[in-house]
Amino acid sequence: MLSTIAHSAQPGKGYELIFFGSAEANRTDPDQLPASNDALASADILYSLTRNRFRLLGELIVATEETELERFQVGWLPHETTWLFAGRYHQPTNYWASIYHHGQYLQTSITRPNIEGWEDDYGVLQTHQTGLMVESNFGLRENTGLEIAISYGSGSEIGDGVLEPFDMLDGTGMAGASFAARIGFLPDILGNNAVGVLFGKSELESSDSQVIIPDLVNVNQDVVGAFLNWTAGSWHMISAAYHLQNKLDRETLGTSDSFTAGYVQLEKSISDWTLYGRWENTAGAEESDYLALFPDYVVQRSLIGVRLDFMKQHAVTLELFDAENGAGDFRKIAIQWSAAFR
Amino acid sequence: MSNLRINLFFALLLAATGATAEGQREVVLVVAANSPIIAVSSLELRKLYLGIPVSLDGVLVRPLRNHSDEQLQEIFFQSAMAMSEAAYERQLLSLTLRFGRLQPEVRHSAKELIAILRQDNNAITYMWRSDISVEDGLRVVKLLWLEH
Repeated sequence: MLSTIAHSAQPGKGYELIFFGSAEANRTDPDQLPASNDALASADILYSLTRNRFRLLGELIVATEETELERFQVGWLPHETTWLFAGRYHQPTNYWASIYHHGQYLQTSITRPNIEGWEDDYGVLQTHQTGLMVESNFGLRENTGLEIAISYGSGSEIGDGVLEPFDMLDGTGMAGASFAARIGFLPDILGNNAVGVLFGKSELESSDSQVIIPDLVNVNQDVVGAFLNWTAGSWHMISAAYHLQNKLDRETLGTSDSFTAGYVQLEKSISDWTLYGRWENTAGAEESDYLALFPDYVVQRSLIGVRLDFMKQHAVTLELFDAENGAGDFRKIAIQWSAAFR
Repeated sequence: MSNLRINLFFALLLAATGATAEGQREVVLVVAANSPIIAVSSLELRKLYLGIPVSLDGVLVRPLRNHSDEQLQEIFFQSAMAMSEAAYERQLLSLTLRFGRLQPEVRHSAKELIAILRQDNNAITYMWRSDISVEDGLRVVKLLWLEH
């Protein structure tokens, strides 16, 4: 068991060191591989350093199947709630990643919606970007506010059934360019409730390992979307919808397609228990040449789960889902322990 | 004379239970007596304890969490932060994960907090009014909760 790590915090000066741990056992029926690339155990190590207006943040995942520097951000705070930074980060059009990052304990469900899945977990939206980003909250009248996040940086490569973003540890995956933005309205500038819109434009380059469409050069992708994150009493809902327009540039004949994907997750808290359900779907998946590049992308999923929070920042979660990907229908049951240590 | 002694006895008894002379307990926001901090709004207080740097009256305020008393904490979270302790801890964790924000310091005794306040004019914390005596050299800037 990890021990609590001491930290220091003086106004404007200090550091934070947090460990998010998780361990999972799951069973898939039929045994489709790879139905998921979720690690069986992982430690997400978050470190941030603040010196007056300078801030550094790093997030390292050490897991059963990978070790990756997920985020590394160095920047400047010109204002108490505005941060300009350079580095590797989760680009703002992926709403789930912007809220939960790799902090498994903080998200109620075990799985994340597939449209917002990590690149190496068959996500079809670029999540990791290396470049420049600005995040800011502005106060409006009567304690309401706007949150704005805008980024510009590298795109991703399209590999063998997965997107491959730039990896800072081995220097691979730097490709194309991408722009992303999120604007949200906050009814309480200090609260979590938010509703807003998402925009993105990416150039995804086909790599040598991409063999499904051999003459593919790149994909120019436009994304528009909307999100809602709302808690009222003991109920919480998180939802997002994305419309993607993909222009495939091929050595022979270029093609275009579009599809729409979204999800709704509803949660009900009863004391230390949380019951939840999520429904996800993708419209236009069968006609999309872009989605054909990702045969393991889950086009539809329905799930239910229950979570128990215990001790200080520990949780155990049981989740069952029924899903469909390029290989057909499958079901999965998973049980997971997660925790945060500071 | 005997009535005076009886009144004095009950006043000391009330003080020992954290009550005011009128029998009501209070949770107050306090700073050093010679701190430049004059007033703190409810929004500023929430920002401080959510790790957002706040300057008040020309100083960068250093918020301190008081973990000396469970009931005091419960009252603070409900009255000042409008959330449970579990929700507050989760919110702090989320803000650090998302933005790298520093979390407020925690102290576990009123005596330690009073010592820090006396040494640091920028520090602020919450405590039972009855934990403060005139000799401590502190000043109340806000009443957070009054027992009904």
